[in-house]
Amino acid sequence: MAVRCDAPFLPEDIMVNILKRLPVKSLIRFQCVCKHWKNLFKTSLFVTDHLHYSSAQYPSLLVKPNRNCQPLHLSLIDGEINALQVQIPPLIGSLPDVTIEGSCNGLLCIATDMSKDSLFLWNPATREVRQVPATRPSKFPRSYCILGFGFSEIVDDYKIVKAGRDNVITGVKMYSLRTDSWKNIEFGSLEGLELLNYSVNVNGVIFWSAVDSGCNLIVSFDIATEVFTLIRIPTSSCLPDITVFEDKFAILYLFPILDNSNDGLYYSIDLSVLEEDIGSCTERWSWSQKYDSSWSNIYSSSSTLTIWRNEFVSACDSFRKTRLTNEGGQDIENQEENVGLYFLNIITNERMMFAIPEYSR
Amino acid sequence: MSSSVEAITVLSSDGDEFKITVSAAKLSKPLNWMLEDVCFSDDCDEVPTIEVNSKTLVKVIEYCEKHAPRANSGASDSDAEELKKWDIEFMKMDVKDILFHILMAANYLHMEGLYDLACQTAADLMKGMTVSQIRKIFHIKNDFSSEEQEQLRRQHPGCSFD
Repeated sequence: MAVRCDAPFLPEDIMVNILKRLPVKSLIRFQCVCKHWKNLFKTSLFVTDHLHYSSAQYPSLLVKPNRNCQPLHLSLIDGEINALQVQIPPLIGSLPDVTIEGSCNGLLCIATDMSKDSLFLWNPATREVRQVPATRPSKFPRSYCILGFGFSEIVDDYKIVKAGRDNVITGVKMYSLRTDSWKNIEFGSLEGLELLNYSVNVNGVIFWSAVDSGCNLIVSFDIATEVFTLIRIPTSSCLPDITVFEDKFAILYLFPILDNSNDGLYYSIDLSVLEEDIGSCTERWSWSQKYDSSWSNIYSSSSTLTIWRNEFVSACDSFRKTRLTNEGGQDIENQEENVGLYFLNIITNERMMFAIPEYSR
Repeated sequence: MSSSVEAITVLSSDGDEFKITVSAAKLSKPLNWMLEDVCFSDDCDEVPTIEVNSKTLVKVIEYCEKHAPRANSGASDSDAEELKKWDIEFMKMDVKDILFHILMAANYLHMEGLYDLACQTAADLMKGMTVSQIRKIFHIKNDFSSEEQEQLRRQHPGCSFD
């Protein structure tokens, strides 16, 4: 025994440091190793550790190539820009009107009907699906719903915000995954506002674009304190895209510019992030501009724009051959029907395009 | 410590002597403290012991000597690329025979770079292992009852306890 060089017993902290580097697929397999591992993988400490590690090491972008049609199809773009097809669970895949209402830490909030009464939380990595109990009364009268989804580390809880809207907000309910129940939320500050149906979340806050008598602004909801806040934006006459940049909420303005010399449509991009001024007694929020380019020649037939890592990403429904040859580098002549992603690096201004394979209409 | 010393001698836990250059020893915080505390001049006969076996210590020193020039002076991108390739070759080792010992040593010697590399290598190797292979290298007993195994199989069809 002393002569043979057997593997030593690893202390728990070293073991956890190895295990947090495993993909979810391996963790699911290795929960059969012993009870201790099975329980360990479910502790919030390990889950958080694993999440922080994997999101830093393996950033991934979820793309829904067929924006408006069914059935649901999702592609996951990894750090090396490879596309993986996401397996849709039968429960979700069989439903006719699936929409993705929010995503946070790899969890997706899915609505499966137009009235958004039937909600699911879905973890594509573990393939677990959980139905969210229905709100009672089941519908806000005469209104349709705006949803938001996010996580707060402070309360260690995922929450879904559901605002009933009939020109103006008619009611707000909030679901907590921890209590698995809904409750009413005070929404007095939103009176008279029109809330737009797209949200992003970062650092425990959910954000929406909103319109108040012709002025655009941002509405935030703090998941821990359950309070809405209205935030003014620099150019209130224009509706911004909302996104996240460097772990901060960000707004993007994309203005098309027609370039006659090159016969193409170009865009001016303006990116600002929201900073919290804790010391200030007057204005709690301020915006700081991170990118401003008046001649960003990303090509896009749609205005869908977000930020991933250090890149603007825009999607377009199909590539056009003529534009592809201009780009050079990639030969995707026979993939006209494919959905394309355009990447523009914020720091280097390098451009790249990518056709999502295995998908054609 | 005399500044003229360029290499020091250390003992492994098996009592073998090893030479390590001062710049390489600086990759490890405890070794660095030793450098400051212990007299390493030629007429000093005190040789510090490192609680790492000879077989492992050879590898650890090899890693330190390779990484020391870059850690001490910074390096170009091509050097970094070359070092990355070297790391991959260096880590081609048996899990139960040596990798876990390297992990323990890197942890004990506070060598962040080697520790990270060894953890990642272990994780990459584990991806291709069966559940019973995992139990063997981690000295773990299957403590699921047959009822519990049945229940897990129902939750995760296709999962294996072997």
